[in-house]
Amino acid sequence: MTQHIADNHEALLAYLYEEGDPAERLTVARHLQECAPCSVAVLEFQNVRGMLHDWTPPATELGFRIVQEKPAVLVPPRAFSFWPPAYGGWARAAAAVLVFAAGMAVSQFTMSYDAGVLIVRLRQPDTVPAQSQHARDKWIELAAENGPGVTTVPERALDNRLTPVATDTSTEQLLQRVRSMIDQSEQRQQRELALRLSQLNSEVDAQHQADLLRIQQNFGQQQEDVMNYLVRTSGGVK
Amino acid sequence: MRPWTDEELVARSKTGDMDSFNQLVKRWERPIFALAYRTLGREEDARDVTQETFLRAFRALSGFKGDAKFSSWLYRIALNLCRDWMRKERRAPLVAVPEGVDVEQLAAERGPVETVEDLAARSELSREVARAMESLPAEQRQAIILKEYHGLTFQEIADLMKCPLSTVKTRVYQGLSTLRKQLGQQLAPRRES
Repeated sequence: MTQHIADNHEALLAYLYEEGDPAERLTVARHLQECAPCSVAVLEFQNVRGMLHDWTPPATELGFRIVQEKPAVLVPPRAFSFWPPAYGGWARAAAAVLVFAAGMAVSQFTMSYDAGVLIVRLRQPDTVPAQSQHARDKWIELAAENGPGVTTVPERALDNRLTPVATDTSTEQLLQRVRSMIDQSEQRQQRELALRLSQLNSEVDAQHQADLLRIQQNFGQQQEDVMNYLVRTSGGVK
Repeated sequence: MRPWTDEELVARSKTGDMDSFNQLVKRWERPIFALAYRTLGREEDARDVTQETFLRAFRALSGFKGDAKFSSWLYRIALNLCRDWMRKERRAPLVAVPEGVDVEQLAAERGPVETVEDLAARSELSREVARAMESLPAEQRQAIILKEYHGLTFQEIADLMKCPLSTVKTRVYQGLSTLRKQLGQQLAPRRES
């Protein structure tokens, strides 16, 4: 090797750091055995490296750590809803069924067929309105004036009775008509209930998706905030 | 049971396993702190940079494809932060010892809590090395730090610093040559010993 090592820094570095072609390092080693100036230079570089390793950073306690804090999901303002947010879809559905049943109970009417008379009773309040009481008293007075035999009409009227004036055939038709009306009413209410349930489920699903999306969007920022906070509180930053 | 590799811990961290990422933090916080300290020269700044390095790594973890080693990726983040830090704060990369403070006496007063490394760090020789390193251009200093203290290959340093391999070797060589001159007076006693 005719070239001095000081003029060939790649060879010097390969030798110092034992990195690169082994054959080249061997060549350098042989040259150093023959060249005193290069040997001194290499020794000084090695000493510099040794001194560098005397320079150590302070043994500071670091202990950085990331801790998952329960993410505070920010719920955006949305349209007013009767339903509290804690209630899920099933709770809403159950409530809808309850409302439906209550509605049926309120609007319920009973039928009975007694002595050739079809009686349809609509649910009435227990207390009789003053006007109705007055009418009843008036009918009683009329009955007293007209004598027995005509009192049945107002009594029936007061009981909301439908007095059959037609034949058995017409009664049968009337019964079928009423049953048909009841069936239609039930079907309509069932359709409305199903529609309502479907709307509720759609609303819940849409809200769920929106919440998930929002959580994902805020996730990075929240994690950064969490780590900042935790590092600060753990003494990470003076 | 063998410890998890960096790659395994990264993969687990990507699934949301916070403990795995904390293992990476624990494994690499000291080297990152050392890199920042030797580059910036101030302990508090080094702590801040170390913290910010892991914050950024955590945020960008999903984008880490594993093309390079995780440690190289961390070093790159830390080096960029050090560069930005010096640029923004306009702080000289200096290990400063206040005037009139005898670091050896200070070290002795701190008692047995101090390690041998702490004492060495506060020695006169350490100060001389720190001052000599401070005098180097930032590129040479960073190349030497990565080579000497972190054991990276020249090629890894070139990848980190995004420069040709030959440039890295030149920077290291020039930096060592400057240190050799500046620390010449310290070298003589060493040779004798």
